[in-house]
Amino acid sequence: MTRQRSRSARRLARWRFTVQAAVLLVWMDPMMLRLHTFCGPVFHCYSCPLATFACPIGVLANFSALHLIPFVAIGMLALFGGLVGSLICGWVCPFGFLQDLLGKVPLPKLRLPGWMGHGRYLVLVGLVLAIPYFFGEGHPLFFCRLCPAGALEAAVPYTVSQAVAGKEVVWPSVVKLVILGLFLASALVIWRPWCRLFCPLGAIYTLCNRFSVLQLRFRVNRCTDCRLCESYCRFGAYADKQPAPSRCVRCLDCLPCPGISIGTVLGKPEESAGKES
Amino acid sequence: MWGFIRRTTIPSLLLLGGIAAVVYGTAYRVIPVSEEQEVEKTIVIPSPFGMPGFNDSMAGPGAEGQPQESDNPFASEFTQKVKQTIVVTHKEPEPRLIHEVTFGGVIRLASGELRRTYTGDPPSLCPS
Repeated sequence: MTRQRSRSARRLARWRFTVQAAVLLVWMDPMMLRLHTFCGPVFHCYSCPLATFACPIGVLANFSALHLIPFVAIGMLALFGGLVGSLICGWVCPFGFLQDLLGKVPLPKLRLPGWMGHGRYLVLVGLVLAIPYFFGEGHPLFFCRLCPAGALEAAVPYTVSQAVAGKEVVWPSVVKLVILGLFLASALVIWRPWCRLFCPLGAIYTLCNRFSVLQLRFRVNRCTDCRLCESYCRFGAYADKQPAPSRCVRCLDCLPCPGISIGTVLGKPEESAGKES
Repeated sequence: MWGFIRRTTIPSLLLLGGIAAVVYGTAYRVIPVSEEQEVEKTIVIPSPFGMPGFNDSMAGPGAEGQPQESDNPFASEFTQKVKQTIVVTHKEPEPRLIHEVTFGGVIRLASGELRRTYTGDPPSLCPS
């Protein structure tokens, strides 16, 4: 049973790469539709020359600067968060996919303490909501002016295209380039550093993990104390056999563990069921 | 039964709230956005001496910005076309505003009014 379960989990893990690559293709605007009136559920700069949809964090930040409530963006986040929670982070987000690819470089990886994940909420409340609301979008700490996704997907391609076309080159800010460089370097030695430390969108989705329709359950009564969960989970979501929903990106790499199962809130929970992630 | 209701209440509220917010924002919500527009207005300048056909050296009818002779040879006033900047307010749906903020097309003035930052074609790059 465990071997069969392990095979199924490995097959599922291969699907994750395929799904992420397929989503990236759709997000790179193959039909040149530029549907920026639609707010997507993932972290991808809308100024990217290949962006199909608008970035929800960019919309939140800009609407905060305009002192408006972005109903469409909030609705999209509630809808996707309520359905699958941070599965969006683990299976859909193109920026997370990039970090997964960088993490495959065979270098020793650092394990970060769990408390560092609280930085994401500081970024969400401070840089995305408060700074634009009180100081406007022109403030140097406005989130979009620092975002590494914007630097990588928009600023760098535009700078290169201007240089290639022989036009006057408008360089991105030094701060933005430094943040991008630090992020790319850290992604080689830390699994998904942006998702774990700073991503405001991940902060929102992981808040929904406890309430989403899709549930990842950890059953204490099935735990054999093998500690496989801690070795399978590259994001430190399991510590001392306790899952932390606030750190889980629902990559589902931990499914080989006999104590972990995936289900929905519609299903009847087993007796003496453990924590949910 | 109660366990099912307890388990599904918050997810249901989240989903229904999300759907309601998306529908409201897409289909019903409109936000006033003002923009500056240049319009051409015709103003009437009374003749200083009240004499018909005053100032024979003027340019003919149709010249922009130049006072025109009236059709009535005994007219005591002239018309002049001038360009004026006025502020016009439109009601925009939220999806349109989402598109506008992707290239910094709207800002909030100190008065709380939302103002479009461009006239004509929108900019291609986000200011950040």
